[in-house]
Order: sequence, then C-alpha cells, then structure tokens
Amino acid sequence: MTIENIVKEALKGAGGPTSSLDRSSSEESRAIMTPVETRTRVADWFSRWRAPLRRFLSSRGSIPTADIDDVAQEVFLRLMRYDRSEIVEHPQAYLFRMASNVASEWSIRSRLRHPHDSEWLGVLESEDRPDETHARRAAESEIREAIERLPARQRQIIKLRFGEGLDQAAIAARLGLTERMVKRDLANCYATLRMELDEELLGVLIHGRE
Amino acid sequence: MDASDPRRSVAAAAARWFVELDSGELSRRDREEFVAWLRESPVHIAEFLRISRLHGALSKFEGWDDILAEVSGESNVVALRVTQAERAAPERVSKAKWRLAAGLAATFLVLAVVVMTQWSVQPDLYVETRRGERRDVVLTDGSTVLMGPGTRLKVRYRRAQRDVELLAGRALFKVAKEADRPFVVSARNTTVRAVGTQFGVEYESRGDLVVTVAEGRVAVKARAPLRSGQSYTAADDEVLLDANQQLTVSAGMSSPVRIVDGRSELGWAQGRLMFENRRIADVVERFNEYNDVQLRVRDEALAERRVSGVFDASDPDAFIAFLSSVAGVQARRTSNDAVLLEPPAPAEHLVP
Repeated sequence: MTIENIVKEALKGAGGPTSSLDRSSSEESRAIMTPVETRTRVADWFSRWRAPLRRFLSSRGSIPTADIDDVAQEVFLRLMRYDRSEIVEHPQAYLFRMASNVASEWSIRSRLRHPHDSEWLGVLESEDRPDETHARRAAESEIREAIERLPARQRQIIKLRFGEGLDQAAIAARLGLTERMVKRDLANCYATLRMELDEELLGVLIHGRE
Repeated sequence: MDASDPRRSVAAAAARWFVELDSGELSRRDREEFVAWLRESPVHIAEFLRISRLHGALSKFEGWDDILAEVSGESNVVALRVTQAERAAPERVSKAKWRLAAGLAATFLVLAVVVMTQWSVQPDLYVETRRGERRDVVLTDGSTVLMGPGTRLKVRYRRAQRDVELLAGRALFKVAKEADRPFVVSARNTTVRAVGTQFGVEYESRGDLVVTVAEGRVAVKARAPLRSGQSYTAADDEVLLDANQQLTVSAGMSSPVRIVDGRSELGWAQGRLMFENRRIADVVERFNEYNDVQLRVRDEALAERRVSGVFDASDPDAFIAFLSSVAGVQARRTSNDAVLLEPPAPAEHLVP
C-alpha cells in the first residue's frame, strides 16, 4: 500500500471533505453563514485538522522524541515527491500521516533487526512501571513552572484554552480581547514553551511512556 | 534549552501556523501558503511537529487548577474567590488527584488491552440502574460515571463534544482530560460543562437539580424550559463552580453557590448518605432508593421531624437504631420487604 493510498483511506475514515466543500472564492468574505454551512464548516475543520492531529498524538501515531528531526527530514523528501495541489487539499493530514508512517516504518525495521528487543518491550508494556508516575509528576511539575513564568495574559489565555476547553473565539469574548490578540498571545505562548520545555518529558505526558 | 535564534524564529512561525490551523477552516490560499512554508525546510516540518506535540502535552496536563490566573475577565471580587478556593484546597486536591490518576491508570491499562490498535470510538450508550443498584460505567476516553440507584443515563460522544444526558437519578462523573472535547452533562434544561474534573449531578425528590464539584471546575447553565415561540438568548448566564462548591437549580433558576465539603456531599457514590437537618420523610425516601427493604413513615409529625447524620446506605438497621435512640422511634416489620416506623408509644402512665 503506497502512502498515497494510506492517506486516502485515512481521510475516508475521517469523513473526509468532498470537493464541493472547497470554497476558495467564498472564503474571501467571512459572511453570515446559514446553519447548514456552519455545521459543514465545522465538520470540515474536524476532518481536516482535529482528527489528523488527534491520531498523530495517539500512541499509534507516536514518534520517539529523539527521532523528530530525522523523521522531519524524511517527510520533507516525501513531500517533494507529491503533486503540490494534492497536498494542498489536506496538508495537515498528509503531514501527520507521513510522519507517523516514517516513524513506524523505522521502528518495524529496528524490531526486525533486534527481535529480542520487541519481546522485552512486550513484557514492559504489561507491567506496572513504578517510575512512570515519577516521570509523569516531573513532567507536570516542569510544565507548571514554565506556565507560571509566562506573562499574565498569556497564562490566562492558555488556562482558558486547556483548563476549560474554550476555543479562541470564546476566550476572546471572556477576556474582552480581539481574536487576533488571542491568536498572537497563544502563538507566543506555544513558542516560548517549546523553547523551555524538555521534549522527553513532554513525551511522557502524551504517551505515558517514552 | 539551547535557544539558538534561527530555531526560535522557526518555532515562532510554526506556532503561528498551528494557532491559525486550530482556530478554524483555512482558505485554499492559506493552505497553499502553509504547504509552501513546510516545503521550505525540514526544520519547519520538525518545529511544526514539536508544537503539535506540545499542544498534546498541554492537553494532557492536569495541573490547571493550581495555576493562578485571572480567568473571568472581571476584576477583584471573582479573582479573590478563585484564589482563595485554590489556596485553601491544593493539598487535598493534589492527593485526590494522585488517587484519581492511579485509578485512571488502572482503567487505562485494562482499556489498552482491549483497544490496542483501534481508533477507539465510544458507542452510544443507554444505562439504567434499578433501586438499590449502583453501577460504575467506564468510557473509552477513560472517564467514569458512578451511577446511583434508579438512575438513567444516555452517553453520546461526538467529535466536538462528549455528550451525556442524565434522565433520572444521580451520577458522579470523573472526567478524563481532553481539552479539545468538552464533557457536557445535560439534565432537563440545565447543562454542566467540564474539561477534566470530578463532579456530581443529582435529581432531588422535589425536582431540583444539584450540581456539586469535587475537583476541577465546571460551567453550569441553568435554563427554564422554553415556552413555544421563545428561544434562548446569548446572554444566558453561565455559573462557574470550583472544587467544593455546589449549586441547586429549581425551575430553571439557580441558587447562589454554596461552599460544601465535596467528599461528604458526594459520599452517596460510595454508599455514604449524609443529611443535614433533613425531614425524616426525605431521609427515608433516600434510603429506600438503596435498599430492597422499604421503610415507611405514616405518622405526620414523625415524618416532619428533622435529623442530621452520616449513614451507610446499605445499612438501614443502623439508621433505624439511630432514630430510636434519638427520637424513640419504633420499627415494625409489616411484610417481607417493608418496615413501618412509628412514633414512640405513649408512656403508659398508670393513672390511678
């Protein structure tokens, strides 16, 4: 199965958008939408963004932290091979799917090279590892400290985003800001935390183990 | 962390792209720009993947309650309340959180075996408990629902939202954290929205709805039922409840928020019933939900008497013993599964 077909399958499963939903020209005006359009737009956003992101973050889509740069290099090469217009249809889905595939291809290859390793991993996965909670606690503590170092408004915004699950529009409404301001603060927040937080520890939180 | 400038500016660009993608549908032109940016360098791709992972970790992070931040947009009064609640309870909350985390971890372990390579989707559920029956329902996202007796529940997980409808009875919800998918309980016309918390929603005998938070924070929207021709306005109030706070909704109006001991109020989930100055008639009604042997009170004066205490729901005898020591109540078995509670027999004064 080529990657192309895998992605197509994945998109089918996610209830992928049909071509009739491509609103390149009407996108110019964010006019008042009818309820049907709103529902379709949200559904579209889910299949194009949230679903691929969620799959990428599940253990099925996971990439060992140490390999991110190498995986990115390989994804970069693969992206070049594809027709640009096809990728533009579903860029995030392609990106995440490719990255996960590369990682799993490599891990299969390494398992084949060292068959006894996979047995050992199997035993570990079924046991309750005591240092897992410790690693998790360390990760949470590091994240908390980094968040507390953020400027007040960024801290407010990120707490509303993740502590209460509000979307950007709701955050803007709650704090009396424009959506543009919320976007800017949120992006700065992500950028700062990216530079400050250790990736291995993040991996512990996402997958429970690294 | 080594913050070399070129990496930092790429990280900033990746973050901007991520936030843009997260906010809604991208136009074709935006998507073309995004792909062009990705194709400029593997570093762009790597940074975008890192920001995505960071987002994932923040979604799984559970310490939001301990983060001090003014989140209501109003000034001092609310901030004070939130801060005090946070300062007062962190010790107990963290201990409870570790217990919860351990419980959830055990649940995850079981689920992982079953769900291994599947993209687990929560099927729609309808669950009902009988009188005296309590049930623990575990959902695919790791959330659990402790159902009390005589409780009816509908679970409908959707992509945008995890929907649960409480049709009758009472339930204690332990919600697994998923920032992108709020957990919303609707009971009649009231909704309770949570992200990752522990809270109870209970139908009381008079038709009131009681929401109690053990951990975390929920947003409660109480609404009166619509009359025909009406529609809800955007200005419907949302009340925020933090840990150890409780709200009662009657006829669409919500009471002021009460500070309570979450653990005692929700003790029924562990079979512990707590009453504070409640009519014996109400207490008896609660007990009857949990037991096959039904208690009855016919004497009106006795029914109106008030009592306080904590009882094991499955031990009505202890309750009866308590009543007789406190109020001289006599118990008489009238059939296989009914016990009549009567006021003390008048002292037999032998009137000469």
